[in-house]
Amino acid sequence: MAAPAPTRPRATVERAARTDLDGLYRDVALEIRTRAPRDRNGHRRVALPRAVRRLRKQAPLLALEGVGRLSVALRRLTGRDVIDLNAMMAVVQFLYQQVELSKRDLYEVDEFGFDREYAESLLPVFRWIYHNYWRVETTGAANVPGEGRALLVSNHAGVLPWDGAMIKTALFEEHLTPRHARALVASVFFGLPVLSWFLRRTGQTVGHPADAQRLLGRDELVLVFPEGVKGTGKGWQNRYRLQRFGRGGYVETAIRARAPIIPISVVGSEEIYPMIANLEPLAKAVGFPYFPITPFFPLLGPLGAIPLPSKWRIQFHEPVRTDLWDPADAADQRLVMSISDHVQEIIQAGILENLKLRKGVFV
Amino acid sequence: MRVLITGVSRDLGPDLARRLERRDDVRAVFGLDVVPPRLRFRRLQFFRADLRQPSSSELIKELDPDVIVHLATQVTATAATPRQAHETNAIGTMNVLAASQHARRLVVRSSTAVYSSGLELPSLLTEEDGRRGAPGGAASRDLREVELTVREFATVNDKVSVVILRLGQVLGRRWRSLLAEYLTLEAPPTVPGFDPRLQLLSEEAALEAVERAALGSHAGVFNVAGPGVLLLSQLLRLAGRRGRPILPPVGGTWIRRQAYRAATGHDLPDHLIQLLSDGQAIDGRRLEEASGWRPRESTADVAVKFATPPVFQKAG
Repeated sequence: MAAPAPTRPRATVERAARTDLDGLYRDVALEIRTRAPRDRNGHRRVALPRAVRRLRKQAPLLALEGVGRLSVALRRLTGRDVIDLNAMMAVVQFLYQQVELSKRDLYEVDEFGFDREYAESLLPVFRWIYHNYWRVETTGAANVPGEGRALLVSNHAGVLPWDGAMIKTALFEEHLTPRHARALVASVFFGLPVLSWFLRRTGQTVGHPADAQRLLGRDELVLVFPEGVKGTGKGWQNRYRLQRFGRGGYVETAIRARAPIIPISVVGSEEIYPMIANLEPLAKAVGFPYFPITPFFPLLGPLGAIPLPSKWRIQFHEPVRTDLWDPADAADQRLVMSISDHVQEIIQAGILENLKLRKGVFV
Repeated sequence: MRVLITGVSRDLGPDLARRLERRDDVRAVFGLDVVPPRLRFRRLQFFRADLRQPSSSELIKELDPDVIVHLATQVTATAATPRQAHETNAIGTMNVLAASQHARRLVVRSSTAVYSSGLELPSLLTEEDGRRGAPGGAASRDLREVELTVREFATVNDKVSVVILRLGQVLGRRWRSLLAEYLTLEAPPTVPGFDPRLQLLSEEAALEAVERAALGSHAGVFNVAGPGVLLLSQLLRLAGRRGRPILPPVGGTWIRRQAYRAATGHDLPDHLIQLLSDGQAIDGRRLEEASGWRPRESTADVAVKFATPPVFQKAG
């Protein structure tokens, strides 16, 4: 909701706020009434005392009413929107959707474990991060085909794969035909609790050539980071310097599948966790590829895991064609390495260009 | 055609014998096992034979079957010691192979337990991935050894067409399976932070795969799997069970197995313990390309059929 202009009479402002609130209450009340008190398996819950039950039922309503009152009061006091009711409604909606999703019985997952509905339910969060936190500016999204297969190749940085999340969000926010990109992730992450199911549920799969081939064969978008953990785990002094692009396996896959390669340059991901040191022995002990020391982690504990609000730019470059060669040429290591070098140059040049276009690290 | 079935008294065996009996093109059905089957048969000729003894080899030679269906390989048995299972698998298979030179066709039952559950493997395992990575446990090792000897046999005896069937996880109500037993636990233990993909095969599909292999003309190693996967949480919910997340999320298979044993009083072989965290899905396309058939029922169909009507009512 836009902040009301100061010239508008106070009564109008109040009326507008009240209608908003009324709608909100109605929706929530309906939501509560339609939900029978059953647990996940359809068994009736153990009966609590009626007073407690009523209180529990009405708790969200009361809380909302409280926040609404507070919002109106603050608005009257300051003449501005201190609490944004729209944002609040979005949060409420998001939480309800998550609860709804957790009750699904036989939802569809594909053979890689991708749960489309769940992945899309998380979009509001990533959208907020994309627009408001990292203020991502994306160029060249039209270079990604609206249908058919393509191999997206990006630089990799920033300890945790937030760059993958932002590229995927960019495809939803900036592309005419929103599509899911399926990222290939280092297999070690699938051995870690929570990540193992989260990655698969949101469409990622192990970084195995067979998986890439299979997904491309289904005309999906596949996102790879040829630098791998060498990219995410590099120190601050090496920021924006591309690491070795593996042995060019991704090019082989693209040639075999006759999928165009779309290079992507991401700027901003290096600054989210400036890694000043890597505690390798500890990393080995916990089975992680690296253990980062940043100015805030592990000094501030879990707070240090909050990424810094750097300014991001993502550029999708023009496709590099691979259909000029025969799929059998994928075995030609010299051809593969020369294409890989070409892709690497495009990405490195794109990074430098976007660094120039960015006014500052945080603005 | 004369068909001989080893391990005829266990899960698949009796049903397969019944099916073969009913066919006109099958002249005789022989069955071998250490205990007689519990069903009644019209034409099956049962012989009590222990495959671990060389005499069983002589018996098979004497019966002179055209098709040998070797079902006696074990993967799910935990009642027998691993050593006994190994004897039956390795020595038993050797004895069967020794008598198979004059058969026209040999079908060997294997299972997806041959695949290790290494994280470096692709999401959908093809037949080629079988020999890679460390074996998942005693059952895996056994099966790999069996498959290896069978492959060697196939290269030497090129007149015998050999089929190795890697059956997926079978879930149904007719046969005892460890997965079904797991789902009947009051609160099946799970690994917190993991929700693995599973793939299920119906009993009918497993049966049909073996029957088609016995009577068909395709040869080689084949995965048997229907379309689709299911997450463990979905399967548990369908079965009306709520998983208890008590198995340690870090640490190896051995630790989880001990924790499982401590929590339930039952044992689960390594490859099933690994299934609870890593999951497994296989690609069944090769069988379809070679024989024109693959299981039609998806994993979800199998699970729904197993769960409805609720087999295991909660007490109270």
